[in-house]
Amino acid sequence: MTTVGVYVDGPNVDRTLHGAGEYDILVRVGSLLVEFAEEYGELTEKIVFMDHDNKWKLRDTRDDLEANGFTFDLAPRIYGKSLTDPMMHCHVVDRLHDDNCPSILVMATSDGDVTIPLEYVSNHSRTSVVVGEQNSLSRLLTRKCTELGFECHSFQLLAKAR
Amino acid sequence: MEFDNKQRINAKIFALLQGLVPVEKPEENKVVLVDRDELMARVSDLEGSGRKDEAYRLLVAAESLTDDAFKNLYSQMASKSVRIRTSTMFHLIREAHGAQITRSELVRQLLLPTIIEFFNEIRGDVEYEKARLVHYCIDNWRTKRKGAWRLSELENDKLDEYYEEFVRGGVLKKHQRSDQLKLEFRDSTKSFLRSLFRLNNLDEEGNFIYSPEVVEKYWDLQIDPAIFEIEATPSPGSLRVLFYNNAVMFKLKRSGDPEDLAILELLALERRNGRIHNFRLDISGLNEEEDDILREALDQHTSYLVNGEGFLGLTIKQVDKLPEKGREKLRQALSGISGLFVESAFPIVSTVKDEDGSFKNAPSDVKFNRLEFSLSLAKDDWAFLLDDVPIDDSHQSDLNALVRQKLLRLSKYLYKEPWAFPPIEYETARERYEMMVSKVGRNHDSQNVQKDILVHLIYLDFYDSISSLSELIGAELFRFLSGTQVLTFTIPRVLLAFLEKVTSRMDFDEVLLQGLEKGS
Repeated sequence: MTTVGVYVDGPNVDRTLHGAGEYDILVRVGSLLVEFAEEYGELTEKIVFMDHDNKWKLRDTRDDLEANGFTFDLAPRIYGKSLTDPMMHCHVVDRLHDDNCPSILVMATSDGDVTIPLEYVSNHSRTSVVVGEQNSLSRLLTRKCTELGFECHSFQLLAKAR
Repeated sequence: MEFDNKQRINAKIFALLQGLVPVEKPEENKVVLVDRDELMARVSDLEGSGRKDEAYRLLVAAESLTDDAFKNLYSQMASKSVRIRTSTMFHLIREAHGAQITRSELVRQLLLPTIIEFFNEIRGDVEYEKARLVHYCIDNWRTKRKGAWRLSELENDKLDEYYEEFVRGGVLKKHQRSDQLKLEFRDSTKSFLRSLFRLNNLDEEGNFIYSPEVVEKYWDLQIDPAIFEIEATPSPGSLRVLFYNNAVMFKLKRSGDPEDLAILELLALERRNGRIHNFRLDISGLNEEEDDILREALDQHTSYLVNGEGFLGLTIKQVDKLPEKGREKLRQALSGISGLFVESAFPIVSTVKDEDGSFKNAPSDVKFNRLEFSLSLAKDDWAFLLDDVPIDDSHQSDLNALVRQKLLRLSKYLYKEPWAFPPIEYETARERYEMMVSKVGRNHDSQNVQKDILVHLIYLDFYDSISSLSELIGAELFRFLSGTQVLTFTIPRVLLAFLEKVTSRMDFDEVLLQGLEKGS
């Protein structure tokens, strides 16, 4: 059975979907990700990475994530700098060395920095699937996904088709 | 409908939209779309001829074409990279800047009409629900980014994109370091700078300030200053070429060759009181002890007091020339050190000497380490014009002549006496050189003649270096402007399938240019 992990860059998803005016997607982003990820296999892990003092743009976002079984990993801020991204990337790279690492790692983010852990995923013979806000997906990220043979999906089109 | 073997995913997308099945034809390197009836006929044929495995694979492939498969492909985004002509890219950047939109947004605007037109051609064969989804996809991709660019919220790579597209106005750039350049180019650039240095090594009476042999040896030891960078800015329509670093740092270590001491002396004297026009340098010892020796030697006989208007009725006057005793002391000090760290800058121009001996600021339109041109596109065929010289095979020599003209103008301001540049025309220098060479054999005041021969050789070398460099720079400019650039953009996977079908029968440049022409 194919196992799937879902890793959400909380601040990025919150900010980009809200900035794009996609409120209807934002309030059910947890449900959407679970429904999508289950098409690939058995969900074994669902984590949202976020700043410890994160204030969600819409209250319902957090409720929906919680209702769908996501756990929340809180990152500190050091001198005002958010450490959510390195925390998420380090977690993913760490998991790759575990025997029970999921076969497919779904990364919910539009940030080009995630291309670094994607390389690690590929080098460890795992697969990643990226989901991001359509207009915020960086060219670097979509190009990297194409190079590595990973799928890259748009939240908007995902929501429309389901 | 047929697809190349490499476009299996496109074939699958079209099959899913139209309720067809993609069947591979490996012997023709193709994938064709067939309806269910034709599929069953093929399966039947394969089973009849004993190819049951192939028949089974066809059926499995057909079974995988589910609504879920469509949903998965539908929501995917893809990255597409295409090579387009540099002139097309230039046009794109210029239009985007003029419309105050990003290049990505402009590319979408230009591609969408073609994509929509294509979809309308096949729409009759597409299931209603799927057609609706495709329309949504098109509208979603067409819509500009909702909300303004909020800089404080942009991730780093989006910030770079913002900076490149809005602040810099978009540029086309090519940069090569010294180690990436061909030897011919590096030699030619060094030769050009060396020639200028040698010209500036002549004083007002036409005598050498420093021995030409020592100057030659110094330039042999100096590291390559050549780089090559072209930057084309579509708005406002300019191009610049940087072809050398004027500031270099290197270490000179004495090897036991007596000429090494002469080079150290040249550098020390220049550091103490620069006489080569537009040459600046700083030197230091290779260790603390040697640095102290050097400093002491350099600081001697630098100034003296004379009657004047200063404190106690005295004024400090700089010593222009080190007396022979001081020079001997300098040589002794230098013979005790093993080498130097050198930071040198040539040419460096902040002021230009006028005929009356006064200094004024260099003209603002002259940049001493670059050549600048205007760059535009001809209206009829979108070919480049560089300072009105067309960039095509038949105008290569005009391009070289243009570069030569720019190099000469640059040289004028790097020369010690700009108002007297060029010191001599090429033909005159050649005639005199040949005449003097013929005199040497007849013993006519041969020492002076030999000096004059060398001076005229320096003039000829200068012109030769200009000719050689102008051809090399001209060739690089031609290659860059008549070449291609990579355009990368993000597009929904379904729309990419449509676009690739269109561009299989039409040049990508033509698709973009048609869109630009319609818009203008």
